[in-house]
Amino acid sequence: MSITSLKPLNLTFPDTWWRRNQMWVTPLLLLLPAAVVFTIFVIIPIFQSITLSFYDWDGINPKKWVGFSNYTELFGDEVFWKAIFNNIWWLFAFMLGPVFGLALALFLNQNVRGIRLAKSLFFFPFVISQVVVGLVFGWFFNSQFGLLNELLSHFGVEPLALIEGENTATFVVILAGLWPQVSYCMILYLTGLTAMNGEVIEAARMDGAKGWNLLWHIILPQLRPATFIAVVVSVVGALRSFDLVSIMTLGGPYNSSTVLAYMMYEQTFLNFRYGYGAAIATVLFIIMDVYIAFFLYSMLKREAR
Amino acid sequence: MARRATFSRRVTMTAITWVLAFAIFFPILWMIQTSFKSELDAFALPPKFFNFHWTTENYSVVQDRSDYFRFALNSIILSGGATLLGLLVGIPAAWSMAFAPTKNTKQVLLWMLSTKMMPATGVLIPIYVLYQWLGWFDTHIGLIIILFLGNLPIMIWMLYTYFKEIPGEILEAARMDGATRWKEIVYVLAPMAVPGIASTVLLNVILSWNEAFWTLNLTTTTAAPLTAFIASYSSPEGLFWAKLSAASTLAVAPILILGWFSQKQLVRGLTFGAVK
Repeated sequence: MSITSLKPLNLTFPDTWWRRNQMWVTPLLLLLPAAVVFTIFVIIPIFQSITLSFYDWDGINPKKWVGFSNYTELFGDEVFWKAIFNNIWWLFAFMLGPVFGLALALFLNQNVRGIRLAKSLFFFPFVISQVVVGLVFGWFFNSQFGLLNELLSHFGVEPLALIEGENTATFVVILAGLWPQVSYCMILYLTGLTAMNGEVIEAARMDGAKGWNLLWHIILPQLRPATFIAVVVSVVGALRSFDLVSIMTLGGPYNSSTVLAYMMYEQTFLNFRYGYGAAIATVLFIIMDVYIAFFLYSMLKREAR
Repeated sequence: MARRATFSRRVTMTAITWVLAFAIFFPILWMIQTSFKSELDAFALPPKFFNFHWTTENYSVVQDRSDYFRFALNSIILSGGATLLGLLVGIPAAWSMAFAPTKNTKQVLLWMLSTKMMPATGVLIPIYVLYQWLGWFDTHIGLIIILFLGNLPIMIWMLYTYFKEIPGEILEAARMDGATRWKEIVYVLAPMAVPGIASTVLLNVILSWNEAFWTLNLTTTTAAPLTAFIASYSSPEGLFWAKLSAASTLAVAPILILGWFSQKQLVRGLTFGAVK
């Protein structure tokens, strides 16, 4: 390589190339950091996790290839089915978040005395940590010292062991999760309602639209962006079940309130079965992928309309 | 909305509103007042409601026993660091999606948001192993990176919706005046984007502050934030309700105060800027 042959290139080419192409190169460069970190910490670990699920590994000794045996064991594991069942309960129950949130927002969307302070009170549950939510609710439902049983005793009801009960523990934890979720959805809908076009509603009223009709055909369509976000955050919230389960019940009693995330944690870090834990994670992934694919599909279809 | 309400109807509505608000807020209120009770009063049956001997003893015990300020400092470092890093990576990405969109931008954005729906559990084991190997377990840098990544999709989405509101004509005008892309960003876009960025920052600080899954799993002591601090109180000493309440109150206090003063921006943030 001689210097003379490079010289004209150095002087002109990079400069004009950049000038000609910066309009599309700059965005790519700007997206690059996000793409890189995302690949390293999200995409690659997902595949590592899937690979690991075919091994037997305690985290210290060499990994041993075991094929599908983690999965066959998993599908025969009673706790696994219980966890899946509970996960589905979480997802379904969390869909109540948008429903209750909308109901509350419709109610609060009026001018009563001190409404601003009232709105603030509704707003607080969302900003506090799930760990604290779990503690407070765990205490409220505690069968010995909880407020609930104290309140019930005034009405002559026998003390209930809800959080200690095999059939009820999951629902107590879900209730704790719903508390901030409902207030979040309420805020979303309230913001949507405040910004809504009042004229359209008035016009619809003039035409005789009332009650459910008004809500279903006039108000809800205008709240669609709010509904979209509310559903997204509710699904995300339902998947954060780990925090509350680990604070409130540790998956107990007898694994009755466990969820896939907690079961994976238990198997991996308490029983040191990394491969088995990875298999649980993979199953959780597949379930979520189906859900996400459905979600993306319906969103994009709606967008295209 | 525009209908005239009768007086009695108004009174009923006001009453119901306040009962609902009180019911929603009650758990927090109960926690705060319990933190000022003695352990004996905390257990008293029937429960005492404001008619007890107020004491701040729990707070000093909690500070003595587990050094609240160290955990609080960690919370500040982690949520601040994660948010800063998020801005550094998120602003350029959101910017290019908002101002140089291709026909796939919307898909990419939705896909990114959907990864937020992925359970973090799915990558816990590889991340855990990676962190042990890197020596990042229980370090600030490790936690900052993971918190930053957890919120990145939401950050980009939010910033994107804010940036999209900036009218394109202004950019055209700047370009006509000979501004380069870089100058466009610094002198034209940045000033207009400040409110959006502020809301994004607030929401992300709160989300990182409250994040429990990663902080509980990837820290022990050195980098443990307030979530770990409360969790440590919940297990072995679970029956000291007053102290537990004091610890919880201390842990949520900064966020409650921050939330109170920045409600307006936060609401905008919480709605991802998608609901106006």
